[in-house]
Amino acid sequence: MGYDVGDKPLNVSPLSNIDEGKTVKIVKIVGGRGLIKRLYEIGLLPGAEIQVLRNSKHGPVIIRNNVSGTFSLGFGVAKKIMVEVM
Amino acid sequence: MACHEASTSTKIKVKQQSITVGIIGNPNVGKSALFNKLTKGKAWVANWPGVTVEKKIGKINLGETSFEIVDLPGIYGLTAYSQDEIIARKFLIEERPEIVIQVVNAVNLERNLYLTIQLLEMNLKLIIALNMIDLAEKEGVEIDIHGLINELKIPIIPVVAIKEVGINQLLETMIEQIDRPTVSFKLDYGEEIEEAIEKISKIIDSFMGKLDLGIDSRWLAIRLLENDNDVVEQFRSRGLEEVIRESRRIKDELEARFNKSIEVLMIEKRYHYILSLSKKYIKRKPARESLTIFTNKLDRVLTHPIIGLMIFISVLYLLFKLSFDIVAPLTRLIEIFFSHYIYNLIKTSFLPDIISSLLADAILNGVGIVLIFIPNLLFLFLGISFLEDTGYLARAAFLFDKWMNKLGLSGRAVIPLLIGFGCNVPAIMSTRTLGTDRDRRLAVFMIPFMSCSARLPIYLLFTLAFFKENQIIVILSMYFIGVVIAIITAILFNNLLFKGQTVGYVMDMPPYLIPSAMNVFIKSWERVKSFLIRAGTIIVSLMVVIWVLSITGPEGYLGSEALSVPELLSRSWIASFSKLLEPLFKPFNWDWRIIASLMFGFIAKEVVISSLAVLYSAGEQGLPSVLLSSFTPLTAYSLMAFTLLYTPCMATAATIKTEIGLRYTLLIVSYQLIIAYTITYAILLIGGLII
Repeated sequence: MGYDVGDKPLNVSPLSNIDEGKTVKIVKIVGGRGLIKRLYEIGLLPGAEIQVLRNSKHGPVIIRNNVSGTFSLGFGVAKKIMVEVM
Repeated sequence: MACHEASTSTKIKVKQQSITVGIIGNPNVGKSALFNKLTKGKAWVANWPGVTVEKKIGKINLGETSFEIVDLPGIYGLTAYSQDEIIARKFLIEERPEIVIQVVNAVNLERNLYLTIQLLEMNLKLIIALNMIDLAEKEGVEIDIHGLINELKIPIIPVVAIKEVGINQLLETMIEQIDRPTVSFKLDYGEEIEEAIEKISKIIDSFMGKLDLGIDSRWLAIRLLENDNDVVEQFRSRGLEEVIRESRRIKDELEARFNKSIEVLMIEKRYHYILSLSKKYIKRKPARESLTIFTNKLDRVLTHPIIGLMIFISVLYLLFKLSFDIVAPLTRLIEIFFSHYIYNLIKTSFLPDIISSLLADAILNGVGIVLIFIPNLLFLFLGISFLEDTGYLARAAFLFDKWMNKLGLSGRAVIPLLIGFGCNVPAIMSTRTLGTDRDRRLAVFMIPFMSCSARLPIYLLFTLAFFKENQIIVILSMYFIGVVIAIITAILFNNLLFKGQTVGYVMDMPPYLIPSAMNVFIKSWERVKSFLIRAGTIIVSLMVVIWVLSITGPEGYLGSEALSVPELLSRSWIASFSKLLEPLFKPFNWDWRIIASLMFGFIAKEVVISSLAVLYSAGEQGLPSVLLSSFTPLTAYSLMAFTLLYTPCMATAATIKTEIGLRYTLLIVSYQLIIAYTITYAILLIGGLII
């Protein structure tokens, strides 16, 4: 699991829009410092690959990866995590 | 990337003195399980200074040394968001425990290592308890423990806390560590940041005389760069504004150069280091049947927007049903024992009348009310703790997050609110899990409107007398009114008093596990005990006050018979106050007897019925017919609504006070009285138009 941010990604969208079952890579978190720190601290930082386990597209999401484990993130938080579909 | 120096200056002298050991870690890594095993379940609960969050402490003696073990709230890093996290941080920084045990989850070791690095940077004497090592093996996670020990230079003990594996080794390591020097750890943040840390450290060093923090300047410099408000405050309070200014300047300069937040950059550096450790010492093989796979499969069902919701409602119904059905005979037994057996014993004793009445009618009744709650509370808490420890409650919070968000709360708040339908007391106590104070208070304001089971007898009595045909609809309408008012309350206070959004909801979803019976029991018993001691004393004292106001009046002492003789009771203070309030309830056409019954209803909502029976000189069996002759259906309905809304019962009020303080309790009680009055007025107005 790498954390390298590669070249400028082409298809970036918020995590809240990603279909269940997809694996994505975090590109950027567009939020306040508090939120960014909180997400970074649990290992959700640019470059991290995450699997979307549950997403109804208008509510909270459930994601997982090996570093962070499984987390649920509120809709407001998921909107602020910009990801690139792998 | 990291280097170590052993410093001998921090040796601690121990002989008689006790060693403080802090247990820290991410949420859901088994801290409490380990704490319970280390302290053998013998711990006591105190409050953290200044807040209502509980502090669990246990003492153990090993040889000549005694250890005071403190269980800390879960944190992911040193940046604190909720009150729990602030407490954990403060303890580490200000009290500097001699030894810190970090409990880490072997399954997601990398995420846990983030906190490890921050603890190492604090130069604390750290021991890692590598928990759930058995699960990690099943997941196909292989950890080179020796490699990690060599790299980090701290003891790492593999444990399985719930199975008591590795506990003795951990205890031995604690003793060994007492005389060991602290290992100082340095993470290389890269040239530019290191330079900045150096510069700030130098400035701090030049003021060291004024600093009595006992923390090295490198750590302080790092925290200043990371904009740690607490550390900034420490400097400010010592008049070291200059250090703050200088560090800000250096930080700004650096951020301009990187065009990026330094805090973020530093977290990234730490994760780069963690990933380098991970590459070297952690191997993951694909597992065929692992807990993660099982959890994911179960989550397909349990977090499903429709099936999941249906399962949740069934689980909750079952919990209520079990806790109230199983407990009913027990509650009855306590009631008989106290309000008949001991009551009669005291009443027929040779004690002077006033003393025996004080003992029986006030104190014994108060104790009885407190004790009657115990079976219910214990059972509900056992259920909740069980569900919590299986990992299921995190899923329930997920299911409701969307809706709770609209009320300005996170999904977690749904659990206390729903428990409120069973009993408001445990509901209010379980708001403790709600992260921030703001979320907690908002939930506590809503809970009293959840129609608890004690209000049901009142609805039953009135509907039996007045609405025989539509009994169920009328009763359901009460629950409906309560929920609607709770929602309005949330919206109102969200915009008035508790402004701001709930903190972004980020919640760990632990794998499904079978809970340890010991942990579930200890957790539940602690909650019950806290109600007994804290709310119990308030309840008993309030009972004495109500008793005095019932047996005395403007003309003096009326005799303890006042409690059962309506003619005497009508001359008591309570009756006088009620008569004084009569004009206020004129629009409702309520006479003083209803008002007095409502006053007694503060003891417990169901007492409204027995008080009405006394004041209308009717037995409880004869009450419906008496009511029929003096009430209209509309009066009855409005009285039901008023009882639902008007004030939390004594036990609930006492719990609110112990949980969020007297100021908010008074606010809630007055708010509810206003709401009850307004809604009842509205019901009578609208009802009057229809009928």
